Amino acid sequence: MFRATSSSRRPSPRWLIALVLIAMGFQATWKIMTPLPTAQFTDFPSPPSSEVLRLSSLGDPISMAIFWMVWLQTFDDQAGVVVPFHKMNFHHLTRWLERILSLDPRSDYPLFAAIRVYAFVPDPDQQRLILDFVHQAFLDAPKNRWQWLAFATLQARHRLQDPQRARLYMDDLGKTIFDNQLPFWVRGLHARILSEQNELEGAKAVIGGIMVHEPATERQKRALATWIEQLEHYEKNSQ
Amino acid sequence: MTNLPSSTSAIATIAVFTLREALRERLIRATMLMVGLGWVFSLFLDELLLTGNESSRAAILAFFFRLGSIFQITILVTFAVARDLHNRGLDSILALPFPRGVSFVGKGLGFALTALLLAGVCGIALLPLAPWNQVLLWSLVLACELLLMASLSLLLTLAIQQAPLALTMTAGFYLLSRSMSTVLLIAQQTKEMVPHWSTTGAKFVLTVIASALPDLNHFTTTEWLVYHTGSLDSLWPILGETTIYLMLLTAMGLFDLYRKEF
Repeated sequence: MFRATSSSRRPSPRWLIALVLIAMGFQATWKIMTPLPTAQFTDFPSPPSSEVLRLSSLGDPISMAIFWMVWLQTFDDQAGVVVPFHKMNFHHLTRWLERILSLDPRSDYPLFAAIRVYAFVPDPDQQRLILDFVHQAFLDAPKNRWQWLAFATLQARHRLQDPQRARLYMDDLGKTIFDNQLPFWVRGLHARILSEQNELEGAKAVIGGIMVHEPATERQKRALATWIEQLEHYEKNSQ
Repeated sequence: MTNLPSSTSAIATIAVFTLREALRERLIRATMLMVGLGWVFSLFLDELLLTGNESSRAAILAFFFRLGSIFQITILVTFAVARDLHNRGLDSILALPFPRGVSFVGKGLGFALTALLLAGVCGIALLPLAPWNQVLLWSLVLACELLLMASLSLLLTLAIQQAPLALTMTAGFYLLSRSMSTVLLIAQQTKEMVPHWSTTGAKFVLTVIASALPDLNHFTTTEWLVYHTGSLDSLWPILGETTIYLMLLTAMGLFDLYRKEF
């Protein structure tokens, strides 16, 4: 029989041992002669179409959206090189985020990553791209995504220092979502942006709305009343 | 002369022996390994996510379990049937004074029990991450999906009698069934964007192919585990489709078995 046991082993022919050693030598030489791989930065590739992305999910777009997001958010940590976000193509990044969001439109994850990670890139143009992506996502589903646009407004006003953009976002937010459905801080932000742009009547209306609809404490009511008084004072002085 | 059992008890006996054989093939160990690997994989990805939570872990696990159990059941059925054919085990069953269909239905029932067992284990492993009613629904539908794939593997291996080819065809069938509705959507969009006889023809061919496939795209929906949207209303169409397609696969399998010369 052909069963090989330790007792039935016999030495291989010498030429075979030599052949193994020669092959090992060739392999080692080949590896030594091959230049070492160098760390190379790869930019975000252009994303495939939504249909192709959906096709790749094999009928499970929710799980696939998670896998794509993990891939996307670890893209800055490439083999042997850590790439700062500002060196990457944000046009491609926003398109990736948009496609991943289309795989699972109820997920907040791409919007969360956009606001909390990518919007902190130092380049203002790249920040604008990301904030505009969030704005567009809001316009596609305002009722589920209003909080992300509110965060984008904050980013536009404080970090990007772009009051026009902040105003645009806040106006769209106000047009789609009723003021009394928004939390206190968002309506306060709305009033602040309006007053900064000398839209004092609008700002007073928003503050008045907060006073009517918001179950505020006496101290908060006093603060809001003071705010209105200050606006009126400023209005009188500027006339 | 010994009394021969009825066809029903013969089917039950063959089914029990098929299930025992599956268990002997270290099915439990392989399933436990799949569950363990799935949990480790989901915990790892959860660590990478910025806002990992139970829903995202449930989605990752559901994906892993579905593919893993489909892989297991098709490998198990294909190699069990191929081994039976090779060892002439099927010949000895067919030599018994029963209709040929008894062995086919018995084997199929055994594999169906195996599929149920697999789906049950996957369901139990998902219980900590989603509400029990959604997990139950998901597991029942996974059992339907596994049942269809086990029946298809049985049919193809008996018909082709070559395990690698049968496995390749089963995988192709699964990928096509899972993605056919998206392919049809793309074909529809292309037809609307480019109204030409070629796009209309391609759409027609794809519709014909889709009509011969089960719509596995609507089976084991991860949405139930993540957004808890599953209800009994989602179950009935899937049970209907499983019954019809199972009937078709069984009829085709029996047709092939009855015309074969052993």
